Amino acid sequence: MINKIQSAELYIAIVGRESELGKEQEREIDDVFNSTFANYDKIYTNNDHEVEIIYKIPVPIMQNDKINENFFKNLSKILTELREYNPHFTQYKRGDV
Amino acid sequence: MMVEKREKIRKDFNSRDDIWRIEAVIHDGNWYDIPKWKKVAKVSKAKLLKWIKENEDKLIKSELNSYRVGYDEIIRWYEENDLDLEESLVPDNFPPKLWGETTETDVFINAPRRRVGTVNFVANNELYKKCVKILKGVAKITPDLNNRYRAYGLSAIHMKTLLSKGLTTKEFNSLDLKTRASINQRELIDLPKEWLEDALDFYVNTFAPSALRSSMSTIEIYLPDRNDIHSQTVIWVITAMKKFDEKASVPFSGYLSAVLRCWPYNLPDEHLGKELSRFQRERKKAIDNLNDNNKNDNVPIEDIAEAMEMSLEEYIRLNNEHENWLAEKNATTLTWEDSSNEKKGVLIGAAENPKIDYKKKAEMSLAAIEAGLETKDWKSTFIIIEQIDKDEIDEDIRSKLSMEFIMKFAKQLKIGD
Repeated sequence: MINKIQSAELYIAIVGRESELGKEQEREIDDVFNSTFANYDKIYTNNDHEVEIIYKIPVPIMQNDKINENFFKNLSKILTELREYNPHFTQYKRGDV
Repeated sequence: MMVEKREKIRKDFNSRDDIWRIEAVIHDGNWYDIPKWKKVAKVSKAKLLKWIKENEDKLIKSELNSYRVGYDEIIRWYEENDLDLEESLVPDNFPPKLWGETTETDVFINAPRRRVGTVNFVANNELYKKCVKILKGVAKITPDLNNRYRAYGLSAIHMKTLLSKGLTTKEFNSLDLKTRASINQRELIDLPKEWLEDALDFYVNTFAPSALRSSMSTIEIYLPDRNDIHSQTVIWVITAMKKFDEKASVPFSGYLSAVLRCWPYNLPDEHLGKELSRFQRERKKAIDNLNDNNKNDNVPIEDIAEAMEMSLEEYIRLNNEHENWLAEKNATTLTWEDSSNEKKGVLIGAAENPKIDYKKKAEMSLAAIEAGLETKDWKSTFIIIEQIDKDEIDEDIRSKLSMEFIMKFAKQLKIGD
């Protein structure tokens, strides 16, 4: 089954207070992304002590069931392992992501 | 630390041999007595004692029979075992804290608490300046609770004598002076600057938020602004650093964790005064008890006062103060929108809790992925992902999704169960 994709990338946002989303937590989150996706971009913003980290993940160019399944399994892994940080899809590009 | 990572550390630790576990525990640089070391390392006492006997030259022993290793030994062991100093090896323990190229234990031992006397007094600005001048070179004066000041010096009696000689009798009497013979305390300036920066960053931003989680509902009542919570956390961590007993042979993190369980409950006394704070606590208890008995939300104030064992007049006086405090806390600003006549009330100092919406968005995101994996309907999955965290949801979104996907998505979100 081949589908045409809607956009070339997806954005996952993680937002939290500065006191809850410090360097240590950011490192842990990065580790999960590093171990899951070979390529991603990241932008970090701190606005009035609220930290927002957005990860841009490229959607596979070649689309078939197997590739899609692997891609979505990886997304599931990210969203599950980082559940305590409420990671969610977002549509908004911030900064130079 | 995430659950999966914690589990990985636990599995790895449990799979190692006894010697490795004994060494991994002691090489975090903290003090361990035999019972604790044995328990954390999950080894028998005999095995641990044998290891201690064979490795006495590597160990530092305290007067209280606790053991630790120094900075060089930690580095040597990690290098010998080709381990990452920033990774946790022992379940529920942090990696060695080696900020400023020293162990945390050594930092506190090298900056021992000193015995100081204190005098506590109340003064207006002019009188305060006079006291500062009189005690110059003898004491350090810092603001204290309830608009008072506290002077720290070697001898409380000497400070009191200097103040009585330097001020007029009227001025001296107005100080409402309270002396305390001696307390043990260290000054922040005694701690190495490079260590202090990293330690404050770690304890305020990583350690304390987790230690304070259980008392956050109490803290947020008195400190609704997150910046205030952050500042209060800094004060608590600094206070703990000043008070921590370097001779107690326990890790600073253990001490901090213990005091952070208690200190938030001083906030009501500090913000309301002891009388009103006690009134609030007992009033709530009395109402809860009366509600349990009557199953009725409207409890007459006479009954509450009786349950609190106080006169009705006294109850009314304190209740008025309580309501004034509530009114002040819930005071609103009035914002007139340019485009309408509607008034919008905003709680002063209250910060929006960002987690409420994000939690829902996170649940929707995961539900979309799981529904996609179950149905293999990638098209519907991409369509729904593009709607999450969007300003305006497409009105005809439902018609673009397959029924099977909608059913699985709803099931994931536990809608219609």
